[in-house]
Amino acid sequence: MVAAVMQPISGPSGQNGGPSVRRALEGALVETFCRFGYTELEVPYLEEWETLEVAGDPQLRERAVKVLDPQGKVRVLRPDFTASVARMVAEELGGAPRPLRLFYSGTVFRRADPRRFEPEEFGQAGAELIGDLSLPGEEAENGAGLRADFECIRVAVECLKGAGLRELFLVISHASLIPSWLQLFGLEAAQARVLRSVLARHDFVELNRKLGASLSGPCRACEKAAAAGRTTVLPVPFGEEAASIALGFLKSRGGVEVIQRGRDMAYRLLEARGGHPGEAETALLGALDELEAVCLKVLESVPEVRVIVDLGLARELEYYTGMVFDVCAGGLGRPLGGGGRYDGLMARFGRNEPARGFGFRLDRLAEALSRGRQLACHGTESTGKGAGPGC
Amino acid sequence: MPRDGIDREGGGAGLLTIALPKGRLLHDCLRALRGAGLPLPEIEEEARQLVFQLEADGMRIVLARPSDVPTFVEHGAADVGIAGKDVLVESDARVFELLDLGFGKGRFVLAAPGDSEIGRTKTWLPAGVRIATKYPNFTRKWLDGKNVRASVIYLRGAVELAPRIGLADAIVDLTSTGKTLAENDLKVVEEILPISARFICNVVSYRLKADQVDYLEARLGASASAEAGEVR
Repeated sequence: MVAAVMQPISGPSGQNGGPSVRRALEGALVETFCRFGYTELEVPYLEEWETLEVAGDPQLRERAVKVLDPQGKVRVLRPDFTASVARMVAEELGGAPRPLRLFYSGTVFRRADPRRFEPEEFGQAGAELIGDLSLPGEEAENGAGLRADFECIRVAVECLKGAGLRELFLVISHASLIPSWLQLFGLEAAQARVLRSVLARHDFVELNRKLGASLSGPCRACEKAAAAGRTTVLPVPFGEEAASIALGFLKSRGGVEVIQRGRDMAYRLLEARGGHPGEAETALLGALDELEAVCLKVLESVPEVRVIVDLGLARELEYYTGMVFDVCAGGLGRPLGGGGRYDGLMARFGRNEPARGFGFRLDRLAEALSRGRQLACHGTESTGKGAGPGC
Repeated sequence: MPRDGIDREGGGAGLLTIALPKGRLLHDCLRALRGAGLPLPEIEEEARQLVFQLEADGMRIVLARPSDVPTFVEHGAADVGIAGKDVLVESDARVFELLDLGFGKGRFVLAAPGDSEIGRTKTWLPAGVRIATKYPNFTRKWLDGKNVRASVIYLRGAVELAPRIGLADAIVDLTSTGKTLAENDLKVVEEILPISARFICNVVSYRLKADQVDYLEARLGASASAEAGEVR
């Protein structure tokens, strides 16, 4: 058992556990990846600046350690694996048979933030499932889509379990929820983008203010529909009630029953607005259905993981197109990692195919494991002697 | 899970840890929490106790320096906390901002001596202007947004003295009554951002302890609205 082998040693540059811990961790993860039929992709340390530009994650671009090559061309030390993997799949593995199952593990580099004291280098590991899982003769995308979503989550969970993590939480949502929800309100694209950014930061104070401001006028979608003669229902000012339903939706989190609550809220909103269900409604309800299907499958097949649905989980990156999830460990104040479905990323590299993946930080995983051991040593529930990580 | 979401069986791990800022905001924070129904003991900063266990209510309170509250919450040492918006923007902590509590109000302003060119004309800042502040990160971000080339001089205190002693041409500082500015012959040139105390939450606790967080947020929100109602 890997957990028994690891001793918390303080390694060079304060890395949690030091090199032997990281090797043991990687070993456990690789074993799980291989067990599920994933093969290793060796990704270069040096990446082209263009790759990061194509992938379109401004935060990673800003944090990347830039290197000037002898020709004066800007290259970067990889801040992440995802963009490089997408590029390699598109450039070198375009012809390889699908579905493609790849994993990676190694060091990534990010410029130090003087306020954060985060490491400049840390280990990252993850996997990608590229392509369709449709069986011959299978028509509906949904069956294969659900299988692929589930496989992605299952491999992530099994990796962490194999590494010794016991208290595992999955925070899950769907990337289409927020955009379609914002569309329902008939918000202009620019307004919607601002709100998405505020949401990604979970600044509910700002969101409250902006939603209130955006929604104090009549529903633009209704106005457009009325103008186009598609409905005889008069546009109604949304105001406070709509803002409150919207916030309620975006703050809904809990067990899988949250999804039904989400549906109920959507129906309430549609009723208040009148008119016929359009594109946004279909997308929203479809996303809720997909999310529910994945959750139920995870609950049924991986019961030891606690599943928390969070309808407000927002990825600022627009290339996510389906389910999204974060993986958290009890006692650790930040997520270990996460992933989801990001067909949009492959599209940026010129490939039109489904793609799912996840990654986690090995430094946080090591920290979570070492805290888990501390909790087991010190805490006793009956005395309630504050055995939590804050002590 | 009981209605208030308090996990009374879980020992230390189930407690909701709340970080509160020592100093000028503490009194109002305690009042807000008592208004939200928490049976707080007498908490006196001078008494030097920093951790208060309220196990029967599933909570624990930790006192910290104001600028440390976002750090505690970001790293999960505290699940939730109360911090001034000024501290939040300066620290750029990755936390969720759930509520504007309505107290501790003030505003970030750009101020300059009344008899200086900036102070008199209130026109824009000349290139190379020197600005003293306790909030260098916030000031730099604000200046970047304005595309102004300026020197930002970081001072830990008594920022309002800087123009008079020739250290800076203007200051970016927090003001509430405006008294300190007036006493130092400084005029507000621009209002930058309104400030107040915010209820913040750790990103993981937001999901894992959703019931407890929501319960406290609802009670604090109700108490804050009630107070705002009274003031009006």
